Amino acid sequence: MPLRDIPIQRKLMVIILLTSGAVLLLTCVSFFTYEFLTFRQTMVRQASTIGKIVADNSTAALAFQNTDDAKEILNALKAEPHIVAAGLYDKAGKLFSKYPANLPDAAFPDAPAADGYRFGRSQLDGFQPVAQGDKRVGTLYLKTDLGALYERFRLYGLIVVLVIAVSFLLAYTLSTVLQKQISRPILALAETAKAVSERHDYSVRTTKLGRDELGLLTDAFNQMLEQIHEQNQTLRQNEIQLQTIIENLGEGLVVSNLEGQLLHFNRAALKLHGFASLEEWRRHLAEFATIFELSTIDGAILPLDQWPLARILRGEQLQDLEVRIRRIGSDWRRIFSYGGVLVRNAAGQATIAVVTMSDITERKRAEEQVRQLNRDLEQRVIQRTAQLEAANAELESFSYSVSHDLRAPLRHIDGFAELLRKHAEPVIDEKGRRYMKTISDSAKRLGQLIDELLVFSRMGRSELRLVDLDHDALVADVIREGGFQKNTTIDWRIASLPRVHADPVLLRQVWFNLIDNAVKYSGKSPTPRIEIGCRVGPATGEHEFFVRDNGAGFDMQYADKLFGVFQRLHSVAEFEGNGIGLANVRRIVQRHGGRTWAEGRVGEGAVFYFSLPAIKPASLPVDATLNPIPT
Amino acid sequence: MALLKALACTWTSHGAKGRCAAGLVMWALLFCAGPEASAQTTVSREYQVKAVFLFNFAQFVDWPSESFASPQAPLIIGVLGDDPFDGFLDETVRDEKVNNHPLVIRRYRWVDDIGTCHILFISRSAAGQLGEILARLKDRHILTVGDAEDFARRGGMIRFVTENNKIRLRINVDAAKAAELTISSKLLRPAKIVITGEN
Repeated sequence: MPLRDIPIQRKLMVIILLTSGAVLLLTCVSFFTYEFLTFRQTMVRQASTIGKIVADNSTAALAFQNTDDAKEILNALKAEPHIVAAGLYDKAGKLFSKYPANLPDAAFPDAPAADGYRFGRSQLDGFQPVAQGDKRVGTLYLKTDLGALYERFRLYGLIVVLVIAVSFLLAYTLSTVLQKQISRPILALAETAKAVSERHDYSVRTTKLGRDELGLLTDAFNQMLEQIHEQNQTLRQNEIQLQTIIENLGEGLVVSNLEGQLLHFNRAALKLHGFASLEEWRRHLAEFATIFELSTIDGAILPLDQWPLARILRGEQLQDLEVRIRRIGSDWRRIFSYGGVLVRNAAGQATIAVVTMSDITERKRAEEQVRQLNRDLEQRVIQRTAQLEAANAELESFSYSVSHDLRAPLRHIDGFAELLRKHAEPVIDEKGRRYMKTISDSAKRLGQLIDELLVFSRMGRSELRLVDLDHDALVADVIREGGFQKNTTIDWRIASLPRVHADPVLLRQVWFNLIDNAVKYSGKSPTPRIEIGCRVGPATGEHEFFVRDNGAGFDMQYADKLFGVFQRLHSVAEFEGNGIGLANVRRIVQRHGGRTWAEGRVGEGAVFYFSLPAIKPASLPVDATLNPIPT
Repeated sequence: MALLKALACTWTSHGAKGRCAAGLVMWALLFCAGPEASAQTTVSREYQVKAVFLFNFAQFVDWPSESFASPQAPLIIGVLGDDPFDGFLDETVRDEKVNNHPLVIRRYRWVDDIGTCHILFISRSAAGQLGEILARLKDRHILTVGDAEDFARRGGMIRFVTENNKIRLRINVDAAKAAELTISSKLLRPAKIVITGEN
């Protein structure tokens, strides 16, 4: 097994043992090498030291050829057991004395070799010059047994093996104990991590064993677990909330994976599809095609790839897609409104598809009913309008013909009353003349009434001739031509008015009637004042024209009656008039698409308004000042 | 010279064999005037060795510095009386130097002839007047060497003794000290120390 795969405990042990072993081995090898080299040097040094001493001591023995002395000197070498042989050679190179004495001459070199110490196979041979002062008197031969060296190295080897063995044992024992400092927290962490990943138990915690980096790691790990635990709980809670929301939605909700496998139906969706058991909906979309048939509102059957979920899976976002759904082989039919979208994760990748549906069968039915009712109503309105129009036309033609037909007898009455007055004037008294005059006046008034009725009835039939007209000029014209300026007591306040798009003849009649009314009803005021102006309706944006007077005014209770035909609030004696003027105003304004209304108070004056659709509202000055007309 | 030394060694190493011969030599030297071939050779060998020893003494003995006129002044080996070395001594020291001092051989008939001298071999012929000679040499830094009977005991410094056919040394350390000579302890090792007058 490679090192990286073995358990950490054994790994630590192997690392420690290998490291200590390598260090030990290197140390021992270095020591051994050093010893080997230095010991050879030491041996040479020792041998040469001994050689020098012996040689120095044996100068006299050699010089004076005293073999006993030489023997004695050489015998001192007994103290050094590694020196196995020594010999003194005289100046001529002849063996003069030897040690040990019983060693045969053959064991010694025949003649001394060059001075110096040389290693042989199992011995160190040394040739030391023997000199007194500057005179050489001979040569000392020393033979040192290398057994000592090898013996020493054997001892070293033994020690090295022992040291390594003991060190290994010690390292093993120490590491067995000490490596737990590192391996235990790691193993505890590993155990916890395993528990978390296998059992998904995020509540387990690792015990902290120290305050080193592993302790920090343990703390961090525990904190991470704590956070995961909390996040899990939050997630679960959110999930439960979401689940509750989904399950209690009125709208049906179906979740599918990207392959079209249906993963979930909420309660509403189950109910909408009429499913009772879970197994009924745990299917692939394709299998649903064997149960349901989908078609458009118009009845065209939808192929499977046009089903809402299929379209969503292709990336479409659906909203209010109305589809008819039918259970094959049964009379269950509904109309569903589908919506849905692909749900994407934070990276923007689609993960699931969500389809929402609501049953709109009843709504559709109600809508259909409303539509049917509207159709009926429209039909009826058209019928009624036609009837009304017919009746109106009949009525108008009737009133025209009546008015027209009434004029002839009326002219007769007037004419003959005039003839009678002329004819009978001399014979009738004052009373009679007064009666005659009343008849004549009444006939004239009736004629006038009939004329105005004719105008009124014509008004409803004539075509509108709309032009862009100068309103200021029109109003000034009406005031001048109507002779209203004759009454010099009136304080006129006339603002500049916007141009309008209207029939000039009819609009002139409107202004005439309104100004005439104002002059008439303010006639009794000591300081009559008439204001003419325009404002923009705050809600409608229409131009609202008005004529304000400080005359008799009226009771707002009757404001609606003002614009009716022959509706009068005052007697003819009080204010002359025949009750058709304002009716005409209303009729003309209505034909232009505008409105009429009035405000007033008894004794405090009245304001009459009419509105016309604005052509250019911006052209109206915001602050419409009132300018008196120059007289 | 090398040949002589080799001969000396050969002689000493074969000492055991020549024991009879040595006795004969002694006898011949003491009592026979006429030279004899074999005796001549033996005597010659003995004195060859003694000549070498004399030369060697120069290396084991330190003289006071005033005994040399200069560092290069010669070291003089003198022979008092009859010269028994038969030219070997001259042969031995030829071209040799000890501590930069060239070696010179002088021969003296009378004590009064002795001028500057460092090593003096008093031959048997002069040994009769040894007491007088030594008295005359007192206060002079001269190493006195001889092979006469009781030479050292009578005040001589080094005596050659022939034992078992080998030449051994008797050294009178006190005498040397009196002459302010320093004899190397190494030289004392193989020698026998003798005190003046002692038996």
